[in-house]
Amino acid sequence: MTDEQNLKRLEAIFSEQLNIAVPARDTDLIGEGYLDSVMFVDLLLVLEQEFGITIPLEQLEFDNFQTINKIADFVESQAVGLE
Amino acid sequence: MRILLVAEESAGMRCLKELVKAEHQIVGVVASPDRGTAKAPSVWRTAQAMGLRRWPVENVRRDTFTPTMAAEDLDVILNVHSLYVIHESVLACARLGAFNLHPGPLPRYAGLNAPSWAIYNGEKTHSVTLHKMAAGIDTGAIVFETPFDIAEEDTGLTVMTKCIKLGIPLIGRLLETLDRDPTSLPLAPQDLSHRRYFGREVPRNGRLCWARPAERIIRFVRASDYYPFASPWGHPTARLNGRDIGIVKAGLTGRAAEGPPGTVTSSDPDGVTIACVDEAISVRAIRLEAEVVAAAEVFQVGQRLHDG
Repeated sequence: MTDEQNLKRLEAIFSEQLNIAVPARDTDLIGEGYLDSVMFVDLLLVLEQEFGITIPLEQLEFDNFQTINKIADFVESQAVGLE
Repeated sequence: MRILLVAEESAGMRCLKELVKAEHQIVGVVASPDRGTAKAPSVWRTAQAMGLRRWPVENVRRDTFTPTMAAEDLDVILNVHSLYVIHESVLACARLGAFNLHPGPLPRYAGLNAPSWAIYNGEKTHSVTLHKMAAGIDTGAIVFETPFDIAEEDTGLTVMTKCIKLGIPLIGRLLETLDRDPTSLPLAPQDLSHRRYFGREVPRNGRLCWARPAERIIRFVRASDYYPFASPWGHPTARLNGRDIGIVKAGLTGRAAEGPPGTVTSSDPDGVTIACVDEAISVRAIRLEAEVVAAAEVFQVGQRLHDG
């Protein structure tokens, strides 16, 4: 899946599954309060289900979830790890 | 099955979504109307967006809510991370029972903040428990339990997340079993002589003591770590120059302490080394007033932090 496809998929996840209206792909999701602890955990579980990846919780780096762009990079890196 | 969901927090949100996905009949949702923010939705607002009936969570404490629930012909009440004690007459409205998802093993970790207490106490394993609700908090018979390991790097946040990830499928299993054959549901009574109940208290009132072994200090830091989100325990606090300093991120170094407990013995961009009574720890991030900053930006070699 291309970067652009992943980005569009993530945007849809945020708006349709998480009910979070993120203004832009580079919006600071945690810093600007779009992701609180409730939605962050929900996001992790949705990412695992939607992309078929396992997110190792012990090595959680929050930088990877700071923006939709960074989440797309992270998801791509996890998917490559599976190949 | 007709289900009443009493729910808050991540687990409650996830449970709500999984119930909707599985096309269960959700009679309504009981939650706090004032949780969440304008940007990050709550269980209440999510249920509202789904077109589900909602009742404010305070209702469940009162028997005045019972007639409302009795009229709903409920099969099951599910309680997921809601902190209100449901009145026993409300519990009795569910034909097949009321069930609670608890983020900890029972009876040893009943009450609040079980993931944090488990890390603080040095547990190597933890579990998420689904139990039938009875009079008393977290006292009912255990239906299902999923154990997992607590890793050295685990924090309060990651253990709680594991509880949610492993706990939500237990609810699915519960509903499948009740649908197929309610009499086959396992119900293992708890041995309440082993019960430990944890309330809202924070270990040592959140104050850090440098005279304690390094491993105990690090466990306290990890147990309190929900960063970048708010921690139910705040962060273990020390004092420097009259100010409270919260220790947010720290780890063991494996090296012997090289000064009196609380002394900053070295500093580099990754963090500062602070002596404990036995070993040195590396402190990477601290909370100073409202902000989390790199420890190396604040501490200087030779400074001595005092107990909180």
